[in-house]
This record gives sequence, structure tokens and C-alpha cells, in this order.
Amino acid sequence: MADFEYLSPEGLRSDGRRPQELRVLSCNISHCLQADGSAYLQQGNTRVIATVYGPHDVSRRSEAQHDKAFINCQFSMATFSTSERKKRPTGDKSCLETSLALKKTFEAAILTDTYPHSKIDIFVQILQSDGSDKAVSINAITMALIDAGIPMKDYVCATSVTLINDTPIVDLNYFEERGPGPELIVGTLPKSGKIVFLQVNSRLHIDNMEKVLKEGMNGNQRVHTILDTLIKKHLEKSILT
Amino acid sequence: MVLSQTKMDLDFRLLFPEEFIKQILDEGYREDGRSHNQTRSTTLTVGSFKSADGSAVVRIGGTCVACGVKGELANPRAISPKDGFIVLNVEYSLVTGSEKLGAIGGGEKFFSSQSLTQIIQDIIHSSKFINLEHLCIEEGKICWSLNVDVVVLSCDGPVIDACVLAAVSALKNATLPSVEIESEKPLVSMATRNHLKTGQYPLMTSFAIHKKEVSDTNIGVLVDPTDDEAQYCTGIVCIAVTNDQKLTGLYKYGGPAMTSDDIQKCIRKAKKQATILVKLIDNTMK
Amino acid sequence: MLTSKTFVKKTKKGNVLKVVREHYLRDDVHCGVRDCSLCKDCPDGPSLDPSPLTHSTLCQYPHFLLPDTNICLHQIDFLEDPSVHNVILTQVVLQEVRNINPGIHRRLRDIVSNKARKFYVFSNEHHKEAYVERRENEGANDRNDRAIRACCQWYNIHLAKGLETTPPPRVILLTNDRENKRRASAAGIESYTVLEYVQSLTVSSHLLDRLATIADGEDSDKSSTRKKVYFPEHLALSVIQRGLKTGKYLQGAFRGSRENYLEGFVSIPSLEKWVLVQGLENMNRAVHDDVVAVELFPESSWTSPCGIIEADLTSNKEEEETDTAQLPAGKTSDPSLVQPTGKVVGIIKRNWRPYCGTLLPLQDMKGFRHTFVPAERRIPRIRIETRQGPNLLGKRIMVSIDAWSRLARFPSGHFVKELGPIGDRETENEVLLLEHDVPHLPFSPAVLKDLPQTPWVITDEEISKRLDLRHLSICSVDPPGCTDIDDALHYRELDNGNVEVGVHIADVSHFIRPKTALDEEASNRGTTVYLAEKRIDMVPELLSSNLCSLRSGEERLAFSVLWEMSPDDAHIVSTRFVKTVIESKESLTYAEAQMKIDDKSLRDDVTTSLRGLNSLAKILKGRRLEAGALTLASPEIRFEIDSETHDPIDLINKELKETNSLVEEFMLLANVSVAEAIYEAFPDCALLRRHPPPPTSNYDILLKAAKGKGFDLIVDSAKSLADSLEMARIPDNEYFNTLLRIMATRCMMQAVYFCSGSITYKEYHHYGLAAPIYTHFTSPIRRYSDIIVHRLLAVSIDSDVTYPLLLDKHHTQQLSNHLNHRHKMAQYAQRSSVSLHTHLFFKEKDKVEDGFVLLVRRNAIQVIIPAYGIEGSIFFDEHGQSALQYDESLLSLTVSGTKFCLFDKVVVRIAVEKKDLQTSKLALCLVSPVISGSNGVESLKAKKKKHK
Repeated sequence: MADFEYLSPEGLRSDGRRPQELRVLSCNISHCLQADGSAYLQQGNTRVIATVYGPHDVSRRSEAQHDKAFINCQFSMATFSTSERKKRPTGDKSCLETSLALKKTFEAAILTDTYPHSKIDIFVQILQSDGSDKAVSINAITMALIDAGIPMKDYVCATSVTLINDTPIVDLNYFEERGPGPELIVGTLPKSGKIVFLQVNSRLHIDNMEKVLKEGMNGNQRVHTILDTLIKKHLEKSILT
Repeated sequence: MVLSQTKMDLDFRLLFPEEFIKQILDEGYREDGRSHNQTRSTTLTVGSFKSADGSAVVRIGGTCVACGVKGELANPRAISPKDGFIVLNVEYSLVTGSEKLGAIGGGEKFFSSQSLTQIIQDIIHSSKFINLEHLCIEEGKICWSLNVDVVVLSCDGPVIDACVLAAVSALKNATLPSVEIESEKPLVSMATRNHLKTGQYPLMTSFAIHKKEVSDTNIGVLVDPTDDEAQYCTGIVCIAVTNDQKLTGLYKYGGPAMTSDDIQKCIRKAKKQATILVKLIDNTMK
Repeated sequence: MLTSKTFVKKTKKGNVLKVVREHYLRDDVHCGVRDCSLCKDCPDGPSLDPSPLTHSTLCQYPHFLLPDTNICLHQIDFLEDPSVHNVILTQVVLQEVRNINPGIHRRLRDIVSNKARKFYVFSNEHHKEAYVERRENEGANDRNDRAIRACCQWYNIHLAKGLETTPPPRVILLTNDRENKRRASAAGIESYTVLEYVQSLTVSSHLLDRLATIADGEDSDKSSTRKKVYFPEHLALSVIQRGLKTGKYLQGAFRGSRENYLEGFVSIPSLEKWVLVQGLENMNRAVHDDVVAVELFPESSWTSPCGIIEADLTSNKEEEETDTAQLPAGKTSDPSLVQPTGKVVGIIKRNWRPYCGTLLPLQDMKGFRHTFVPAERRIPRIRIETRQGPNLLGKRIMVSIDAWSRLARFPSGHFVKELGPIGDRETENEVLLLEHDVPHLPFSPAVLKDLPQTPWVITDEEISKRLDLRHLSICSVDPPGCTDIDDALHYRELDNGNVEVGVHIADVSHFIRPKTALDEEASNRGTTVYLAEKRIDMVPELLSSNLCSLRSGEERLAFSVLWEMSPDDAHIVSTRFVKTVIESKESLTYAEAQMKIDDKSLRDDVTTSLRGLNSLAKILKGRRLEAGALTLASPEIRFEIDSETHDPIDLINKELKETNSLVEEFMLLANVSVAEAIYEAFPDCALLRRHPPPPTSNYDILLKAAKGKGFDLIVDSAKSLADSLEMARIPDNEYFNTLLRIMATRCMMQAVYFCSGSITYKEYHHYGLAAPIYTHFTSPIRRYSDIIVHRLLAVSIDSDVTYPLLLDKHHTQQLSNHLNHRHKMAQYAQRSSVSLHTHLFFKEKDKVEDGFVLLVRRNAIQVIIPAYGIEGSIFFDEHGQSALQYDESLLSLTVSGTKFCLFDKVVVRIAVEKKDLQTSKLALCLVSPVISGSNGVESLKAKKKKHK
């Protein structure tokens, strides 16, 4: 059998998208009334639920910081979210790593100094995984934070990018993520174009870095446009009712 | 009918939520305008998580529960070589904010995830919903092990009702590839997927018991309590009825003692609710 | 953009994994026709004409062709013909082709990328309107056929709406499948078989020849009652897959035997010995290089190769009678010769390619049916139909196999192209280059554009970046007539009593930069191929013979390895790699260098350097031999070529001088030093070379041969083999030792390139050189591997930068595999070229020479003639002579009382035997000892290469 064709010479990816096309993105905001902010976000077959609680009192004194809020972030995956059943929904190493990465990302984006001595809880769970889990989680958390009314510098938008035959392709699905190319995940504040999250898995040659990164940032601009429209629609709707 | 709340009511609600709820319950009202004997609307979607072999999402008011079924090939136990497995597991998702609220499993007062797991596993088995022998592929050699994972995404009222409905719907929705045994090795067919053979299935309805202040014997029963109502109530009754109206489980935890009349009343209501849910499942699965 | 989203569920087997993929349908897939008013933005520009010309009498309106999968697979030569234009290839067809035969897929892609051919790939699977979903209970093939028909329908509607031309062009489905055709016409789609279509063409009648002759299902059924069934049926692929899993069948590549057309072998990775397949029926239509499934016979009926050299001489007419040629069963008594034996039960993958060869001459060349004789003896004869019979006689032609039915003794094929007259040097060279897959076209303009501007000078800036060694007395030593000098040496004494030795290699990676067309071309060619009278360069001549050639008196860029050594024991004190600029003082031949060393009166710098190097080289060589390096031999000859006629004038055996070994030692040392350095810097992606030790069974024949002369060779390690080979000498037969070494060489495995990350360090070992790690660094002008090694080394000393593919482990391994293939083929091509020239050389001559018996077969002896380094077989006809006694244990053959043993000296006459124009052969005739009766002289072409 020949190698899998990730990108046809006609410029279509295996699922029919063009290299720089995002998957269909939709989002259900404020679906969970208990939480202060919540969002259910789908990017293709990757479905993520994110909730935000807070700002509220710290539960342990050690968490209190005199000049800014403490951000707690927990990432988990439903056992049925992947092709092979996950043994544990939380607590495995990759979940812990993702939790930490998300925490650091949003510490950089939330105006934490607005809420000293308090705590913001961010919970995110993957209900179905089809690639780009981290990037989609970031987008979902952004929506939940906005829903919770927590002040941020800007949206945080993220996409994953890889290289297939020297062409950058964005918003990877599971197969593309598992493919031979390196994976780069970039989260930016779209207005300023500043990077708040950047991760490269497996070798990416430094010469390719620039174009891959550029494509990722372009992807983020597109994610931003979509998220912004969704938020505005949601607000319109909630004001009307 | 929605209770019109004055500014004063709102302040009262905010400062003394328990007192407020207690008061309106004693007066025969509920905060969301339902009568004591009225359930909230239930929505059900199936098959939305394609990564699972079967899945369902259930919403009862603000309660939301997702369930996914994944089949794995396993070896049967030596003592029951003809049986496959159903492994049920209920988890409160982190997104319920369980950590923040401190209580077990978010706002849910009565059931920890372990007790939910146990009860639901029991009633699924006792209702003869799925004959484990149907999960066997070759006796003593190979069988299906179905992992039924229920995730509670948000809690506002009887989580257990939603969990049972989700687990049952996900199992009914599940399809498994057909497997043949060829020279000792399982050969999984790519093309054909079959639904499970299912029998009678259980449906759960919960009631909260609150004691009226007037006397010890005078109790109030609330069907489908919200989270806030449950916080105020002291006991809960869960009644499992099969789709053909047979009682298959009854649990009462805490609260004041009840007369058998009260229980009978609850069972009747549970049976009525079961017919509504059966219709819901039938419509959704169509 | 994205119009709708549907899910196509694909379940993949494994541990019952459910895999879900999204499938997007689009509305922006272009139809590919110029001037279409409905489609916008075609990525590469639309390639199809809005009103294509028609030459067909069947469909006299403008039309596009839309072939189905089987047409693409079987009639690729038709599609490749330049007269075929305006073809729509659908994605579904391409995907099927890709899965079934990647080679044909590549050829299709090549056609598509040629804009002049006007082929368009229509991504129907992602087209909103042309996409069809698989129905319940519908087979994958049926669904795909339906998808193809849906494309035709869509196109017909779309073209009518979108084009202003009248009449609008229509789409014609080409299919040979009856059912598909029936359904197509039911759906209102015009469809024809390829034959119908091509016959209807008013021009390009030559296309008929290019059509593959695929037996129509019905025809073969009809005739099967009358016709003889030659072969058992092949098992279905699904049955084979199951059998492979359970171990009932084994998978491997089929290797035809060069010696006997009734034998073949299957190399199976899990078995040490190859599986022997004997007899036409057991070989069951497997062709050399096919991937096949074999079933082993029970061990009791295992046997050994019969040892008879036999060529398939069955021609067209005799077919009916002589097909049942049976082999004398391998009546072996020696259990060590027994091989696993089995039969081919099915073909997993055909690896057919176009073959070069000739037509078998017939009385009536005007007929359509002909038999094609491939140049490669492992390929069976091929039946073809052509109208050009008389023209093609006496020409080299190229033919493809189409099919091999159970009812035919030979595979059937079709004519591809004509190469030129037989015996013409150009044609014969072309044949051997084509047969060995050697890219030999002139360099394209794009490649030449990447060359540096001439006149070229080294800029001061470049010099400032490099170590200036122009003052050193550097010299080069090469064979006479060498124009691509890639290495030079120097030697000087240091103040601390040590000496400095430098190996300077042409800095080719300075000129060939990654990702340029030049780099890609060099990487594809992989190596320079040296034919007897010409050289197929890996890089253009400007580089190979000028800018990169370290000629004397010219300033050149080099990549140098500098060692500080102690002069007494050649101990390396330090090693340094550096980019330099040098000026060679003298370019010497081996002989000249040797004369300088020997001439006591000379005391110049170059001479003293050479002497110093020579003494160090001896120490190095001694140390290497001590470690177990093998000195092996293979007969090497060189031709004196007439500069005008290009005919070989004389054959010279390559002579080895001390200076050969001088240069060799330092090259080996440089390679080892570099290998260590790049492995340290890039443990995962260094390109190295290894030589695996041969399995001991490879030595069987060598051991037996030596034993016959009373020597016991020990083969458990390279060292013991080298020692025992050294001991095995016969006083009155000097050539005996060389013969043994020739035989030992043939027991060896191939040395191969590999990527360091792909295997463990222990396996890096180079058996022949007894080096734990080795690579190629010293010939970047003629080997691409060395260019990669140069780049790696340059990065490790910070004088160059990396690029993505250089550090890609996967890519490096793929490149290694490619280079290994190219090197092997280059070697074969070289040998073929030598044999071709030997042939030309002996054309007008008749020589009598001494020879030695190298191998004994049941019906022949194989003789090597040291004077010319050629080999050939002498056949003894079994029917003519009463007594042909073959003794397996002694490896001897007795012919009418005369016994031939290994290493026996014989006298033979070498001449070109000319039966007719077609088949002239180099023949060996036995002169002495004289065999009573028929002077025992049948013959075969000089052995091209030995079959392992």
C-alpha cells in the first residue's frame, strides 16, 4: 500500500478541505446555568465543553495571591471520546500537561490583577476527540470566560498546523495530527497578534517555522472572526429575550 | 404559571435561599412555577458522539448527562463462560465544578458517583435489559465487554433519572461490528454493524420528601426536584419502572417516614412518567 | 465554500476501533474546462479544451474521455500516448489505481502534470453534486462504478449549461466492463470499450499496437473447452491474506533463475534460505520481481536446484508440443544443498515494467502475432500483436506485459516503442541503461540553471571563511584518464615530531545546494555510472570535470580531514574537519606515483610526501588486516577504446599497485573518521554504510570447494576467514588463491546505506572492512550519499546550516533505500556494459586462452579466463554423450571419462558465434582437455553476472 495521501495534488485534504480551511465551528454559549460561564464548542468532530466558576473566594489559603487572581484549570477527556477507550478521564500525564498549558495560557490573557485574593476555576472536558484538542479547548475556554464576564486582554484563539509536502495545513483532524509532519499549536491574541501559547511537537526545522507559524496566526484570525460573530449573536439573542 | 417575584422576594431569595424555598414549598408552590406533581421537560439526543459505539445526551431542566458505550473484545470469566460484560461507570465531570462546590458531585446532595454506579448497574441487570449471553461471541473464548461511561455535565436535580435514561438510550443506540471466529482468531467485519438485542428497560423517577412544619406525619412529596429544592429536602425516593410498567427498583434514602399510600402515589406517578419517557425514547430512536 | 457536511463512517479493524472521519463536500471544485461560465478559480488553470477535436467515427461530436479504473490500470500505454488529449480522470479512479498499483498511479500523475496533455483530475469525492454515497448492501466496487457514472452524468449536464460552444462537448466513458457499460447506457451515458474507440479513430492508428490485449471474460470462457489449461488458478487475495496470517502461505519476492527458465526462487524475509520453485506449473505465471505467495511442500519433498543451465527456447509454433518440459528432479544426496521447496499459489503484486528485447524471427513476419524475447533472461518470452512485424525485425524494442492467462504458455503484452537496430552501440547502451533503470537523459535546462556562472573564481570573501592551504604540496593519485578527481592528499612533518596528514575532498556541497533542481536531479541519479566507454554523470560536467575536480595548478574548494599522527605507529593524535581552499601541485596516475616513490633520486616535496604517506598506509593496512578486514578479489578489466570508432581495441586487466592501496587506506580512514563525527553529531539521522556479515550457509559452496583441494576454511569471523584464505595457497597454481577470493566475494552480502536512527549501533558494523562504523565521504562528485555526508559534517562543524529534510530520519532512510537501489543497478549496468564490450572486442577475433573451472553444474562447467576477466559456460550435451557424471560431494563432472574439478585449468577458444543477425553470442569452446566425440562445445553468452 502506498503512503496515505494527506494532500492531493489538486489541493484537497483527505476530508475535502483546502490546506488553510478550518473545520466547521459552532458554539453553544451559556448552556450550563450552574456555572458562571460555559460554552460547548464543536470544531468538526472535536467537541469540547468548558465551564468557568468565579471569581470567588480561594478555597485554600495557599492559593491566595495579594496582587492577582489564582487561576485553576483542569482538563479532562471523556472515556468514550477517542477511538480507543481512555482508561481514565482525568489525571493521566497528558491531561495534566494540557491542564498546565491551558492555565499558563489564560494567566497571560485574563486581567488577573482585577481580582486579587480570589480564584477563577476553569474546567474543560473533551466529549469527542478528532484532533487539535488543545487548540479547540483554548477556543472553548475563551468563549466560557467571555460568558462569565471575566475581563481579558483579548480573545485567545488557537489552531494547530502541520506541514504536508511543504504546504502548511491548519486545524488538523486526528489523522493529520497523527501524520508524519510536525505539529505546531499556536494561541494568539488576534488584535495585537501576540502569541500566548506555542507548542511544537516533534521536529520542525527552523526554516519552516516561520511559514507554519504565519499560517497558524492567519488561522487564528479566522477563528477570531467566527467566535466574535457567535458572541455578538448570542448577546443579541439574550438581550432580546 | 410563573410566580411573579417582587424586588423584596428577590432579595429574600438571595439572602436566605433555603428559607425562601422552604416557605414557598410549604405554601404549595415551586420556584419554577411547577406543581408538586409536575416534572420538567426531558430532552434526549442519541448518536451524537461518533467516537463511541453508542451515545446519548439527556437534559432534564438544567441537568445534563452524556453517556457513551464502547465495546471491547475480552475473555469471559471461567465461572460464567457464556457471559459477556457490561461495565458501567458514572463520573461527575470536572466541568460541573465539583471541586469548587465542595459537596460530592457538584450540587447533587444524595448520590456520590460510586453509589450512582452501583444502583444503575443493579437496575440494568435486574430489569433484564441485556442478556449477557448475547454478548458472548464464542463460549469461554471471547466476548464483548461493553463499557458504559456516564458523564454528568451539569447538575440541577435528579441526576440519577438522567443517568438511567442516558445509559439505556446509549445502549439501545449502540451498534457493534459483527465478529467471526476464524482459526482461533477473531475476525472483525468492517461492513456490518448490528444493534444489541435488548429486552425490557428501566426508567427512573425521583421524588424529594420534605417535612411540613405543621406536623410530623404531614409530608410533602416533590417529583423531579431541582438542585435548590433537594438542598432543602431531607430524603429522596427513586423508583425504577420498566417500559412495560413493572416495578424493578425502589430506593428511599433519608427523610421522614412515609406511609405505603404515599409510596403507592409515587409509584403511580413513576409509572405515568415512564410512559412519557418510553414515548420519548421511541420517538428519538425512530 | 463549505456547503454541507456529511459523515462517512469508516471502520478500521484493529482492536475493534471505531474511526470516524469528516467528509466535506464542496461547491468550488472546478470542472476543468476552459471558458466554463459556471466554475471559478481553478487552482492550476483549467486544462481541458472547451471544444476538443474529435477523430473518432463513433462519436463525431466534441468529447472528453473518462476512463474507468481498469482502463487506467491496463491501458496506461494508451493513455501515455501523446496523441491522446482531453481526458478526465476522476478522484475515485485515481485512488483505486493508487491502492492497486502505485507505479501506474505515478505514471498517471506524470501525464497530468504535463500541461500539453490536457488531462484533468476531477475531485468528485468532494464535489457537492457528483458525490454518491454508498448504498446499503452495495459493494465498494459497485459504488465506485456508480460514482464514475455519476461523474459522466454530472459533466454532461454541467457542460451543456456552462459552455457556449455548440454542440457542447460530451463525456465518453471508457470501460471494458460489460455490466458497467450496460448501466451507463441505461443512464444515457455514451460508453465504449477502448478497442471500439481506438478502432474508430481516423488518425493515430499506431495506437492499436499500444493497446493491452486483455482477454474479455467471455472469450476465454468459450475457448477454454478447446484450449489446454497450462496453469492452476491463482488464489484470491483474501484467501492469501488469511493464509499468510495462519502461516499456511509465505509472502516474498519472486526471483527468476538466470540459469534455468524452469526454476525460480522466492526470497522470504523470515527464512534464511530462499524457497526453490521448480517447473512451470509450480512457478505458476510468477514473473521476476513479482510479490507472490508460496506454499511450502512437506520437508520430505524438498530438493535442490537441478544445476542444469537451460534457456527457454520454446517458440511460437512449438508451443503446443514442447511445453511440458520437465526438470530432472534435484536428485541430491547431500542434505546441505536441500532448500525449502514450494509452489506459487497466488500473486500478491505484479511488478511488471516495460522490457527491452527483440522479436523472434519468423518465416512470415507479416502476420500480427509475434513472440518477444526479453534481454533479461529471467523474464519469460512475451506474445504480442503488432502490424509492424517486418519493420521491427533486427531492432531492439520495448514491450509491456498485460496479462498472463491460465490458457497461455506465455504472457501476452503489447508493443511500446522501438529503440534501434540490434548490435548498434548506441542502441545497446540505451538498452542496458533502460534495463537497469539508470536515468541517462541530458541534464534539463532547469538543472543547468543552478550551475555557477563561468568563468568562476573563488571570491576573497569565500577564502576568508575557509582555511587557506594553498601553500601545501597537495597532490592527487588516480587511475589514468581520470577527469573527475575528487580526492587529494598531503603530508608534512610538524615541529613536535608528529606528522600532519590531510585528505582533501572536492567541496561539492558548496555548489549543490539543497532543494535546487540540481540537487534533486543528483539525488535521483544517486551515482555516476561508469560504462566501458562512457560515463553517465551524476552532476553536470562543469562540476564533475572542472569546478569540483581537484586538478593540479588550480585553486579549488575542498572539505578536508586533517589528522595529526605519530609517524612511527600511525596513531591518530587528533582529527580535524575543516572547509579549505587548496591548490593541488600534481595530478598523478597510480603508475606515476609509484615511479616517484621508487626513484631514489627524487627528493621534491611531493615525492617525500608520497613516501611518508606510503609508510603510514602500510601500517594502517596492517592494522586493518589484523582486525579482520578481508582482501577480496573480483576480476576487473578495462578497455582500451579507440578514440574515433569507440570500439574496444584491447582488454587490460586492472593492475593493483602499492599506490592504489596508499590512496585507499587514507580514504578508508577519512570515511571512518567522518562516520564517527556525524554519528556523534546526529545519532538519529546520520547517513552511514554497513556491511552485514553473510549467513554461514552462504559459504557452503566455498567451503566445499576449498575442501576439495585440502584446505579447511574457517568462516566464523571475518578475521578467521581472512587468515584461512591467506593460508590456502597452492605453490604451482598462483591463481588458485585469487579464485578462492573471487568465490568468497560472491558469498558476501551487499553493503548498504542506512540511516543511523533505524537500527542499533551493533548492526552498524562493516564486515568487509572490519570497521564498527563506516560511511562514504570521499567521492561526492560521483556519489550522492557523500554529498549528504558532507552536508551533515558541515553542519556539525558549524560551517553550514541544516534544512528540514536533512534531519528527517524517515526521509534519510528512504533516500538510503533509493541510493542502494541505484548503486546496485549501476553495478549491474557496469557489468553489462563490460560484457557488451567484451562481445564487441571478440567480434573479429578468435583467441585461445587459459581458463579455470569456477563452478561445476550438472550439464556444464563455468570457466573464468583470467587474461580478460570474463566468464562463460561450456555445455555438454547429455544426449550426445553417454557418460555425464556429476558428483555433488566433490563438485566434479565427468564427461566421457574426462573429469572436471573445480579450479582445474582448461584451455578455451573465445569467439563470437553468429547463428544469425539476431542472436550472436560470445562462445567458449573447449580446446584442451580434448573430449572425445563432440568436442563438447555448446555455449552461452559470456556470463553477465553470477546469480547468487
